Amino acid sequence: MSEKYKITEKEIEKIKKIKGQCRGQTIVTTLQAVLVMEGKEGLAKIESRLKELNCWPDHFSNFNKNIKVFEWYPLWQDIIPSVAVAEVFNWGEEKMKEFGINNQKVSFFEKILLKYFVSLKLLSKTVTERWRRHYSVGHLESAEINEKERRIVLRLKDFSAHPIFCQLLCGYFQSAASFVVASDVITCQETKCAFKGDAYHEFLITWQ
Amino acid sequence: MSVKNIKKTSEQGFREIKEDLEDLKKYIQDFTLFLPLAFSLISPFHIIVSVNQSFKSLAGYDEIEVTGRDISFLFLEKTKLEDFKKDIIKTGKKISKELTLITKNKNKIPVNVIALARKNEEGDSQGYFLTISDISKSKKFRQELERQVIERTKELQEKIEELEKINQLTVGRELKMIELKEEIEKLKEELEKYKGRQ
Repeated sequence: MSEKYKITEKEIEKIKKIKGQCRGQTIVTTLQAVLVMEGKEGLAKIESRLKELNCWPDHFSNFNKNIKVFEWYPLWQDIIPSVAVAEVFNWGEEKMKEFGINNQKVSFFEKILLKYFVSLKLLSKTVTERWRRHYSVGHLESAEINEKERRIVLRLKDFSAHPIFCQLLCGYFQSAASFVVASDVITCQETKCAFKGDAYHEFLITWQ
Repeated sequence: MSVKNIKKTSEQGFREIKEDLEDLKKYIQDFTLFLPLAFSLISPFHIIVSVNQSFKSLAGYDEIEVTGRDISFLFLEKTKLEDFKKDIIKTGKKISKELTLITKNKNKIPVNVIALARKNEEGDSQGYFLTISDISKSKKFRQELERQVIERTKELQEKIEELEKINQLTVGRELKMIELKEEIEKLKEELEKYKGRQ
């Protein structure tokens, strides 16, 4: 992601054409995380930019009240705000990861999904189900869980939204893992990416 | 019932469930916001999952700052806390302990911590609810009360000692008077004897 990154109309069109839906919760957490990291002023900047791009539906205003977290919305309504965040605040990979971490932390879904935080094995076994609760498209699976070597490998198939979104997911997965791993030093990196010619996205989570 | 009608009925059913879930979510959020007690949801690994507004007011931390962290950093007595953590998971019941909360501003507040374990239908731990109540006022009150009791006891002890001294003095005087009376009686007797001889 370069510093000169700017969303193009072509990208917007492409994202809008992606089939699938997202739960209202994903949009709420995106906007909520902007509020946490950049305050009301920051959110106003995102609103302004999304309005320019014609991507600010009415329910985005007063989103906590107007967006129904269990309702399904077009997928672009989650992806485009996240991409706009990177453009407006000129955020690089690390900052987008932090954005992903905060997305996970403020999510109401994640709080009610506490039943999956019982063990690392259970968490890994249920990633597919958890993904489906958030998105109607894509398939997330755990390819490897190695508690001894302290690593988890997650694979995301049939979901290619935008390269910036990959970094957000990286942070999100890292934060989700922190609830079942007894370590303060957890990292996640995307080791394969569908935007770089790989067949799927692959995320490697490691901890000390 | 036609396929169309079945579809319509199930769609309506889903819509109703979603509406109920939204209502439930709002209820939980409103309730935790209203709750005047510092409250948090903790994972089986003792990681903070969420906190309410009262927690933020008491500890000074925003939800985002504490979510995903082990509860240990919040309390002063590490060994006592480790025992507390073990007890929650082991007993699976409601337990409480007096600890010292370290706020974001590094203030130390005496608190009463109550944990209620959560389990699923299979009996596996699903973490616990944790409430933290500030007992600094009641602790100060209790300490003041104890100080007053000690002070009053001391005063009372002094009074008793004083009384004992007075008592001893009084008794001593009475004994002396009896002694003197006896002496007078003896002298009287001797005087009578002396008069008789004359």
